[in-house]
Amino acid sequence: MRRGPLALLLILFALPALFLAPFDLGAARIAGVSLAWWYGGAVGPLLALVLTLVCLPR
Amino acid sequence: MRVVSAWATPVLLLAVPTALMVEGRDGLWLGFLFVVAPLFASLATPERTAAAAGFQSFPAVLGLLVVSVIVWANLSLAGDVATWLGWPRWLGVVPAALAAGVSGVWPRASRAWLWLVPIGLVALLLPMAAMVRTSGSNPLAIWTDVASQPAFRFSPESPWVTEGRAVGPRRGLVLLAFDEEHRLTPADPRPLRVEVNDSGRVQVQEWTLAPGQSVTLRPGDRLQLDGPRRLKFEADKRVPGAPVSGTAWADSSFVPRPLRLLSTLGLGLTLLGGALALAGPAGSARPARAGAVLGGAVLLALLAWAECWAVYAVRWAPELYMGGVNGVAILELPTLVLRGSAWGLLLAGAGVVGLLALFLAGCAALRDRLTEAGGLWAGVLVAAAVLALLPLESWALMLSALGLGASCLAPLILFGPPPARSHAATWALAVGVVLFLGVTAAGKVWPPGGAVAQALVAYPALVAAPAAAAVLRVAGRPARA
Repeated sequence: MRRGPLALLLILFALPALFLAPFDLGAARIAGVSLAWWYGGAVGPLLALVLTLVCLPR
Repeated sequence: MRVVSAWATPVLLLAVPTALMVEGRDGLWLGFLFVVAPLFASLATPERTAAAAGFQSFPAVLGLLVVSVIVWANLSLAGDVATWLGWPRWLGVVPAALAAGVSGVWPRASRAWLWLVPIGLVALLLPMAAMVRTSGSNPLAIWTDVASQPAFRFSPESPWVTEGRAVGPRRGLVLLAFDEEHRLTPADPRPLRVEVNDSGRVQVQEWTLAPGQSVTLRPGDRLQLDGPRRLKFEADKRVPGAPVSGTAWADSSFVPRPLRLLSTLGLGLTLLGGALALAGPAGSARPARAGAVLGGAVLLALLAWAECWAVYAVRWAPELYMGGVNGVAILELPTLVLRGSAWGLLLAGAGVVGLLALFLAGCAALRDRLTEAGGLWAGVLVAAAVLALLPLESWALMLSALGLGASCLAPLILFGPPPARSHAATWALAVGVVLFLGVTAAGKVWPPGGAVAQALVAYPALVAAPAAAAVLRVAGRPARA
């Protein structure tokens, strides 16, 4: 498999990894919202879109 | 955009806020997959797939099956919406199927389907914007508020307290468990069946109450509901069925760890493979960058809608948890947030219109996906409409469609057929289909006991997709001299 889809899978599976992270890392609050919700709800999907755009041929 | 339209159909979209409400933090996984799966499909699909893979009759038939079940699931949802509105089921199914059929026959409509996506998006975002404005705080503040709730309680203004509302499933039996003493007033004359917990000994008791009479349920008692019942609840008491607290909803998992890991993998494989199956055979070329930007923006906007909808529902209408969260019932949210305003009903209607627009856009994209199967669109619609008259769970149908695509079409799209052994592709497809159907059937005949078996039955692609991929890889090895 090429690098783009692999990187996308890494971004994706970082979310379950965050759920399982020690010290309840996913529950840490940033600006009132937990890290897991920031990543899974906003940052991760945005990162995935940016990566897709970078990997698509012009 | 074609893949995004075929992907973001109402059943999959509504599953995201439902999962976020029911599973809290774990529901983020479905929302994340909702955005990433089509992006993954657009990157992982090899160029000129159709020509290279030699998609002959068998894959075309499987593609037809996947598309048909997706249409069936969405028409079934239309039937559920009609039932929720108090209409007969066919009043939802038939008009939706006719609209999808007309858009296929009328050339101008079929060319304009791209416009249905922004129309649907605006119709969905409008009620959300109104709710944000009415509540006076932004979604982040509402999330923080929800996550710090010590318990989800009936507010004194709740319609479930003031006038009484219908609670209970349309089919099956639901148990409403009470954690604290609660005075309940039935608003209809039918008897109440309660599992009474008397010092650990459970007895089922049936009480018939006179109009206006109440019954006090004690902690541990469970009310049996085998259909919708109009009930009045007590203000300031915990909502039965709601999460224990805001922290539990925001930061905890409700599923045991082994099952959670396998379910995460299973849902991931099913949705990633399903998106590949939808993108693959007909999409002979990768999407252009402009199309990907547009499609990605639509997916992000829909995800934001789903997240806000779920957070506002947990904050303003925790009563929706009673009897199990229903994907259709959460459409009622604007009427519950904008209590007493005529706009609430209109905005709830706008949400339904938005879903209809997304369904029609999805149908147009799925119809394009069927061009290789010989233009069987009318047949698909008729068959799906007839089947949708049966009340089946639309999300289960959608998972089956995507799981079937992930089990047989996705490995073939990803790895391609072995050039030297053309029959290997057919064998791989057959292995995928047989294992998918076999595991599904086995789960129905012998209900699974352990966590592993439960996950495998819920997501048969966990077994079928690797097996089909293995057949392709083994057949692709060069033969020994």
